[in-house]
Parts: sequence; C-alpha cells; structure tokens
Amino acid sequence: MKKFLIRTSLFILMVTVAMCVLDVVLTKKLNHYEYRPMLGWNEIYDGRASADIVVMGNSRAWVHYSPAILDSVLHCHTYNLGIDGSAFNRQYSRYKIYRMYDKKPKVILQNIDFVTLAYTTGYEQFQYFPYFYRREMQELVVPYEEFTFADKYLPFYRYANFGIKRIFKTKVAPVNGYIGKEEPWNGTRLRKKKSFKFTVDSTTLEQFEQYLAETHAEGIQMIFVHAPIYQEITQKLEGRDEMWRLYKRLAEQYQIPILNYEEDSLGMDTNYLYNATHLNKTGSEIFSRKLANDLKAMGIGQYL
Amino acid sequence: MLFNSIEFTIFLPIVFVLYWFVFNRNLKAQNAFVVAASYLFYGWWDWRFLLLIAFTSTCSWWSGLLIDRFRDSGNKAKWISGGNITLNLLILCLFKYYDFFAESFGRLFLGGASDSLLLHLILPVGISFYTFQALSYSIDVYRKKIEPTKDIIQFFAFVSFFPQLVAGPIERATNLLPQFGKTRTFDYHTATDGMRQILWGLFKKIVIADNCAIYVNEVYANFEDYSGSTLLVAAVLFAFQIYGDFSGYSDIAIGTAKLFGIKLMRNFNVPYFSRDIAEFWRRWHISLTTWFRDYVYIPLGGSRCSKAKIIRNTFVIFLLSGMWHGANWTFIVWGAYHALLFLPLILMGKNRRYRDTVAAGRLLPDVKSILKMALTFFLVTIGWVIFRADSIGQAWTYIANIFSPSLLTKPWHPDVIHYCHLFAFIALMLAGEWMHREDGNVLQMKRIQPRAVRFLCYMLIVVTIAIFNPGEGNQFIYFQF
Repeated sequence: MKKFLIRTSLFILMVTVAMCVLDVVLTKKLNHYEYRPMLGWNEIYDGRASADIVVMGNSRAWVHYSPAILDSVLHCHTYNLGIDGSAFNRQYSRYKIYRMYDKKPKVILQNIDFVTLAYTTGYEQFQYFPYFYRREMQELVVPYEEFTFADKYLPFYRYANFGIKRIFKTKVAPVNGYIGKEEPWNGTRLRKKKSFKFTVDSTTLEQFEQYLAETHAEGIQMIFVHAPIYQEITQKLEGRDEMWRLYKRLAEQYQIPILNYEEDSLGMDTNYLYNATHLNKTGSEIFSRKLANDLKAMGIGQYL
Repeated sequence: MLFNSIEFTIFLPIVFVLYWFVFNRNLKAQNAFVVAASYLFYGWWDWRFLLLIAFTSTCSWWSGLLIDRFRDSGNKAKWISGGNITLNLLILCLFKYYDFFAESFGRLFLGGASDSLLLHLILPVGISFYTFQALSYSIDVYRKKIEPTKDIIQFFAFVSFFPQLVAGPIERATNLLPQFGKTRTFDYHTATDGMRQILWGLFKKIVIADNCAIYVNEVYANFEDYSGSTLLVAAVLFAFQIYGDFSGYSDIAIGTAKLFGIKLMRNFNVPYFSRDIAEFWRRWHISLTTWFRDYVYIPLGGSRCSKAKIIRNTFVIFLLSGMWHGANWTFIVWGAYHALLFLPLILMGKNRRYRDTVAAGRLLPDVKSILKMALTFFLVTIGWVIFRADSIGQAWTYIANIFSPSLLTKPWHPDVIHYCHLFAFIALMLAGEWMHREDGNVLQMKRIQPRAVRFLCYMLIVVTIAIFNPGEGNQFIYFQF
C-alpha cells in the first residue's frame, strides 16, 4: 500500500507540474491571440486600446459602432470596448481594467438599452482564462463569474474542462474592438420570444450610478446612445416608459446628453439588421455615420 | 456523478482511503461503507432513485431467502422466483417502456399520441443494469448455482457497488457476491493495473468518443444536407464513439473496482476485430449478451432444438437486447437486423467458428481475416446507423443517402487538422488494442523499460486527455439505458 500511495502521489505531482507548464504555455499563446474575444483584452492590457473616444456597452455596442467611421468624421481615435452578452456589471469590470492600462478617454459613448442594467455572468467565460491570475481579474471578475473551485485552483483545468478547441474555434478579428456582421436577416429569435422586458438589477444599477459619478468627477464627457433595434422589439418592449424615465433621470443628474435612435428608420428595414436586436454591417456603418455627424454637431471630436 | 468529473476525482480517493484505512478491520463495516458510498454516488443524480434501488435490492434479497426456504415445498420456490422476476421487470417496464407503448398505442388506435395516457416518469439512471443484476441473483439461487445470502448489507453492496452501478458490467451473483463475503486485501499490482485501466478508459471516452460526438451530432442533426461520403464518415465515427464511450466506461468501472480489491468481469474484448457477427456478439457488451444467453436463450431451448425454435429463440434474444437499450422502434429494428445477420450462422452451425483471437501469436492478420473483419465492421456500422437514428424513417433515409452517387464525393470536414488528430488517435487506440488483443491490457506496457519511461507514457496520455478534451461535458451514452 505504501509503495502504491508513494508512486501515485509522485505521478499526481508530475501531472500537476505538467498542467502548470501547459497552463503557462497556453496562457502566453493566448496573450498574443489576434482573434476575439481575447484580442480585445490583449489590446487593453498592452495599452493599444487607448483612445479619445471609447464606446461602452454590450453586443449592440460591439457590432453597431464603427471606430473607423467615427474617426474619419470626428478626426480622433476611437476604441470599442463593447462586450458581447454582457450587462453593465461586466462592462464595468472591463472599463475599470481598461483604465488601469490605457489612457483616460475624453468621451464615452455609453450604449443603453433594455438589458444594460440587468445582471449577467457566465457568457463566454473563456475570454478571461488567459488573464485569470492577474490581480485585477481576481478582484474584479473571478469572484463574480461562475468559476468553480477547480477552475480557480487547479492549473490548466479551466482550459481542459472548457475544451481548447472551442477556445480557438472563433477566427474573427475585431478592428479596434468592432465587428461588422455580414449576415442575412434571421427573425427566429423574434418569432420565439413573445415579449421583451426592461430589466434592472439593483447591484448593476448601483454600479452604473457609481460609474457615472466617477466619470463625471473626472471630467469625461459621457453620452448615452440608444442604437437602432428592430421596430417590433421597441413596440413589444415591456417597461419602455420606466426605462426612459430611469435613463433620463440619470442623464439629468450627471448632465449627460442622450442620443436616441430607437425609432430611427434603420430599425424598420430588415435589410439593415441580421436579427431583431442587431444591425448588420451595412446598417451599423450607416448608423455610425449618423452618430458621428450628430456628435460633430455637438462639438465632439477634432482631437487629432 | 460522472467518472470524468471533478466530483468523482474528489469522491474516489476519499472512498479509497476510508475503505482501506478505516473500515478494513471489519468486513461488515467495510461492506456497509461500500453501500453508503455507492448510495451517495447514485443519489448524486437524484436522491429519489435511491428508493427504487433499495426496493429492488430488498425484494431480490428476500426472494432469495424465500426461494431457499420453500425449495422443497412443491412449486412455491418457482412462484416466488417468478414473482420476483415479474415485479422487477414490471418496475423496469413501467419506468422505461410505459410511455413508449402508450404513445404507440395512441398513434395506432386513437388517431394520435394522447398526453393523458402518458406518465412522464423520469428514467432512473442505470435501472436496466442493476435490475438485471439483481434478477441474476434470484434466478441463480433458484437454480442452486449460489447459496442465498442472509447478509442484506453484503447483498446491497453487490447490487449497488458504485463502479458498475449505472452502466455495467452487469455482474453475476456467482462472481461478485462472494467477493463481498470475504476479506479483501490490498494488492499493489492489481491496484496499479486498475489505475492504468482507468487511464485507458478516460482516453477512450474523452479523446475518442467525445471528439467523435462533435462530428456525429452535427451530421445526424442535419443528415439530409450532407453527402453520402460524409454520412459514411459519421457512421464510422459513431461506431468508434459508442465503442470509446461504452468500453471506456467499462474500463473505468473495472479499473476502479480493482482499487478496492474487487474483480469485475470483462465487458469488451476487442469487438471490432471480429471476423463475423457471432464473434462480434461474443466480444461486445459481454455481460449483457451472456445474461440473455443464460437466462433467456438457453431456457428457451437455445440452439438444441428444432430449426423453427432456433429462429424463434434467436429473434427473441436479439429483439429483447434491442428493447433493453431503450424505448424506441429503432432499437427493436436494430435488434432484428442483428438477428437476421446472426441467423444464417447459427442455422449453418457456423456461429462458433471463431472462438480464438484473430491472428493469435502473430503480429499481423492474413488478408482473409482482414477482409472478414472489414466486412463485419461494415455490417455492424450499418446497424449503428439504425441504433443512433431518431426514427426508423431517418435511419432508412440515412442509409439510402450513404449509397447515393454522393458517396464518391469528398466528405465534409469543418476542421481538417482536428479530424486528422482524431483519426490518428483512433488508429492509435486500434493499434494498442490490437497489440494487446490477447491479454486485454493496453497500458500494461511491460515491453517498455525502464519504469520512468512507462511513467512518461502515462503522463503523455494524461496530457493528451487534457489537451484534446472537447469540453461540453458529454454524458456517457449508456447512462440513458
């Protein structure tokens, strides 16, 4: 028995060392990965995301706001920090980490919609894997995501359990955080869901107000933007009035202008949408140009 | 809990340490601990399942005692045995087949499936396995093959022993029950052999089966969109998926049992090296096929009766075997398909041609054996298409589409590099099993010296499992049975 226990322990030790080595090797590889979602984090950590104008939000920020178009009209540098599948609780951690490694922006375009103030965890968790042991990740992200004990304390486990092939499956390279989606209209999601509801989580709302207060105190120009979505969603949205009352109250409190494209014509034509809540590439480019011109009229830009 | 889960990785060493260091001084206490650990393992899925297994175990144990008590009282023993069999099979049928037959009845006679007829019972994990295992005890007591045990804890340990509880091997009371009746002593070589077998089982399950599943699931879900060549590749990959999954589980179960000084029966004996269907069925899911042989086929007369009865008996066991797998007509048709393949062999008296291992004592088989193995594998793979399909219609369309002109086109490959890896691993698995087809212990690697090099080989397998785990936590296929 003694021999068995010693040899088994030795084997487990060797396996643990091997897993540590694999963890380090794969983490280093992903720290230079040029595809989403790791590319965005790599750019943040390398300081390559520093910009005059920063776009904040969920997937609608990520696919609607083209930095190239904003830059060409506003003569500045824009970076899109939009994070897919994420309410503000996750956006806030991303912003805080951004602020640790990149310069303070002059303007933040905060995309707002009916799910901004909800609470999300777990989606595309693998994007955090390569930065898992960084202090700010351990403080701002890991405790709030659905990581298990094994994910946190066993080397390489998070990669192996998720599946390494799945991590490398996506070969999509955002440009300055933005992707234009060239996909045809798919109304399935719309047909499946009978109603859409404005959701507020108290913790997320508290974080949102804190974020607005901080950026206001730092002199960053915050602008709320409601991007176009499919008109049927706007019509079906439960709590729409409540949503606008809340955003308007916050806007008034922190002197934040609101640019509302909720009823823009882009949302009435499925040629500009790839699903009920997202513009396709053509739609997002038209929207970005409209937005840029409206920002220019407000005196935003000319930082270069 | 799954064998390839973090919960099991924590559970197993704790149970191992307690088994050998705390409860080893007293056999009864050790058996009671086995029951407690096994019930914890099983209850992890759903604690309600425990009531059913406890009930089944109690009925079978008690019937064993009653059969022995009334053995000399006319037909009472027979009635008790029959009653126990009927009760356990009724429970199994209720959970497993009631909704299927009610739905089929509704479709046939009521013009459509009626929800009011259905019970929507959750199928307890492993019910087919432990029910058959418990039944084998009472039947063997009736046949005087084994003395009934008065020790209920010993019996509960036999039925619920966690390594083989949910997906076999289906143990015989004559093999497993006595092992719980005597003191187990720790043996270093058995335990290390067990660890190697667990490792090999994990390799087959995670690297082979789970990676095959990605391709197979995609193709089967959209089979009408794919070429004949793609469908054929998916069919072959499913053959390896189900083998890797099921034999992998059996290896983990047998290896785990070895850690506790318990010897379970071999459940797979390199079935894809079979030269005909009869040999395949002597090598695939051995515990189930021998169960049906000993408790159904032979009592019906086996092959020592008229041709008509041989045909009847053959169809009965293959149809029952198909039905055992689940409540779907596809399993019944799969059983019938194999019956049709088996029948000519048994009618011509050629079903026992290949009792030896192919190319015994030689490195490579001859051309004739290769062709026979290839043909048998092909026939089995076609059967797996029926097994895997959601309906008979889908199975038929799938097979028809394989043999369409698109069979000669290039198969679909979303990620050619990944599938090169997969085919390489399948080849490695087959090579390993071929080299050890006679001793059945792929990772023993006695030829590799020194020990440090063998250690490194095992390390490489662990690293391969870690890197090539496709994630998504795939369940073992046979848990659904």
